[in-house]
Amino acid sequence: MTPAKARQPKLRRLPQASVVRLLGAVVFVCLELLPSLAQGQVQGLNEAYEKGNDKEGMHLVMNRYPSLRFGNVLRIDFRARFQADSLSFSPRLNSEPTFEFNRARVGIQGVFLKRLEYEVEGELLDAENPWRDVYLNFRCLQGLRIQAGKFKVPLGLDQLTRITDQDYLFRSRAGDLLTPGRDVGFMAHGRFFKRGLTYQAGLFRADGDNAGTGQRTAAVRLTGTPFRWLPRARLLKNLTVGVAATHSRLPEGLNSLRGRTLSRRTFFDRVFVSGRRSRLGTELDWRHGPFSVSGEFIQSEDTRLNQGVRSQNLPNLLGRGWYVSGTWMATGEKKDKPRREFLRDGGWGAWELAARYEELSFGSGAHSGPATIHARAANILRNSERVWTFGVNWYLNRHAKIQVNAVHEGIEDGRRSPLAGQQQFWGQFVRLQWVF
Amino acid sequence: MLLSQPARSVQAKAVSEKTAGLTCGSVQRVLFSALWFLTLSSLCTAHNSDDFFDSSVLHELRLYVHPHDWAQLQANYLKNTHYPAELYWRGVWVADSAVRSRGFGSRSGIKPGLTLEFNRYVAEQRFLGLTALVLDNSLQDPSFLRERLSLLLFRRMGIAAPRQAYARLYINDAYGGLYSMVESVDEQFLQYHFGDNRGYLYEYRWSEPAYQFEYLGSNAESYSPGRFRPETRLDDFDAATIGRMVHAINSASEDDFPREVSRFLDLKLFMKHVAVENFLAEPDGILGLWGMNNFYLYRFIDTERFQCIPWDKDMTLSYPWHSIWFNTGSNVLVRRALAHPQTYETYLDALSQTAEHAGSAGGWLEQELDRAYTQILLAAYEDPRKPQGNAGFEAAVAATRDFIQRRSDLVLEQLAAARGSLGGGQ
Repeated sequence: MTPAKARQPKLRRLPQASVVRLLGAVVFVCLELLPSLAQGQVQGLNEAYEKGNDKEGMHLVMNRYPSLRFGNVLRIDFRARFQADSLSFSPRLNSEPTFEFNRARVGIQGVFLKRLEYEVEGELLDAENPWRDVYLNFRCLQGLRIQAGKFKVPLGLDQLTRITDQDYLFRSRAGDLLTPGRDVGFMAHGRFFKRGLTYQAGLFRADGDNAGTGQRTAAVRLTGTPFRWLPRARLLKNLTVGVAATHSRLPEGLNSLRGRTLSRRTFFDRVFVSGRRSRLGTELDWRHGPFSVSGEFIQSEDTRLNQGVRSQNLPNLLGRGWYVSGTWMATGEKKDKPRREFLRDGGWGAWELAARYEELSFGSGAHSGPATIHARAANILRNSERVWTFGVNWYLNRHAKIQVNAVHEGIEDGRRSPLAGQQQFWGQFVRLQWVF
Repeated sequence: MLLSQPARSVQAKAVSEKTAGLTCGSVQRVLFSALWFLTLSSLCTAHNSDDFFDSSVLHELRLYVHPHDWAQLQANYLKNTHYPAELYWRGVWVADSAVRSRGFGSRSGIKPGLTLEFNRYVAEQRFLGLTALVLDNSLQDPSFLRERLSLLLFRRMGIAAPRQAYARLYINDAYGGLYSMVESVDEQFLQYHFGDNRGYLYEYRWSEPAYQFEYLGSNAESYSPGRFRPETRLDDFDAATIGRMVHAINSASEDDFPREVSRFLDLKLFMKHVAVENFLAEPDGILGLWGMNNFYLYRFIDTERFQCIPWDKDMTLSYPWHSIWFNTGSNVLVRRALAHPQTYETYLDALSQTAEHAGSAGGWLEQELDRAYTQILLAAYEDPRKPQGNAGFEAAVAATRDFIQRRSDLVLEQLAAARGSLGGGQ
């Protein structure tokens, strides 16, 4: 089998130059102010439409984003997300990008005849694989919707949270590397008891674009808020717990999951696998006022049927990861909703502090014989990564956010670290984000 | 790791099954116990690398590589990609080894030359003390004999040379052909042959343009790691001493040449090495047709002295009229050494001694040929992947025999002529 190629978006890297940085900052501030101004100009027009009760005809609504509406027949929302990152690692890695525009996503989403929802989103910076979420979602019955197209396979709280809604610049390692990501398929989903119980169950063509190596995949996810009906559990009212699982066919070859650092360097390489891949994820999310806590445990298991040197079965490859994250809106708001926007109403926006600890490890399921690192080893020498992330998020308004993260990565096996023998890395990252 | 237990169990089980029908009385039980004991005793006998390179027997090697990987190795035989492998020899398993395609002109996707590395995935792993093993496919030696006889002659002349033995190689239990097992020149080789491996070992890597010890300037990087690739002490390999040696070879005055160069080389031993190569009519060695090739340099610890180690002698023994002065005028070191009367005499003496050791028809070298030929005949005939067929094999053996029968006399004739003219011919 041909080793699978990881699908990576092509990033536009710019040279490290103060001029470029300055230019980026100017563009960002302009983009940040633009929607507020535009919103003010169009507001009058919207009010005119609303007052004229012209809901049957075509009209433009400018609220958080431009929305074109054709009465109750069709609604088209125009969405865009832009992110630019400054990345710095210590010790410095070769060919390390220092400043990059890494996301420029535009798309539309909306509703047709009240029952058919849709979304089409593309990544302008990814010429090879530009399409992100492209799907139709049909509201069949109360508690049953059918979604078809390309979207995320339902596993992993972190993975299913849009990157622009993340508390950190990077998803957790487990949420990024052990989850499937997007794929083409269809899914039944719905919710009961006023979101007290939600479910998703789907079939997908392959195993998602994160791994890019599995084949036909079945996935199921259940989440719920079990304490919402308990009268004396106010604090736990918004505690959501969930469990998810996927099952994929796995073609023979160097198709396993692999461990990569934030700098996209491999610390655990692909090994030969064949048979099936199963994933199990559990999740927890709690929000109360300005506080939030979330965590996940995800395990992947790849079988290695007939992959030994003598074509014997090998112990399964296990990938395990978990994280715990906590955030606090220091300015007192509920999460990501600035009470007073920056440069408007004399406000400074919302400030949030965040911290996360996580671990990700790969190794074989059984440990007979000496542990080695080759791709057909019965006992694969384990490697793991432990990561601390500390962050400050500044929500300037509903559209703009600046994130600053300090990340400490520790690699268990120094021989397989991005710099041989170097096990500890620091990263300092800044992100400018603009969304409508 | 070396896992002899499974083999013992398998053999014990086989013995048990074979003798099951006899165990109807105490006599049979005693016989069975004795047989089992003998079997286990023989298997428990500790092997060492001398057993492995015992050239008096035809060995059987079993190499296991995943079929997918073997197909990849054959398809990409020009690459040095490593694949996981296991090796079995006389009850000893070596798991977690690596195998790759090897060779230069002998690379083949049908019958690949192979290098086995035992310590690539498990750093401390050894196979009978060896870290690597070369399985020569003999593609450039249709007789399968040149490498064996050449290395034997080097050793007979007192020059450290890799040990060699033949093996039937089974790849995933299918006969893959007759291979020549050649001792890898590495730290274990140095320890075995010199009793010390703390020095600096370099493999000479042929590259264009042809190089024959010309001075390339004072920059040591002109010599190493490009042409002289470090094989040991990779963290503190020493290119400067090679640079100084080449400088001495090129710039020492005529009178000072032996003394200056002897700081870096045992000239007597070096000229013996050249003499053996020329006796063997080696066209691809130190005096190679295309520049220097196929040797290692080893600098002993705490000295500046190097020693040459021969390598890859599968193009020898083919042209009995090969001049004893072949390319001696092109190689700076050899040309200048032969210009000095004492070294000149050393060279002629070494040639004479080599001819004497090798013998002519019915001599030592032909006896070795007969011994090797008898040993490999069946395996060579059954080799499904040898390119030249059985007729080609027999023709090559006959040509090698013809070379051996003629060569000593032809060399002695040239020596007589050289001595008669006091170095005329240089």
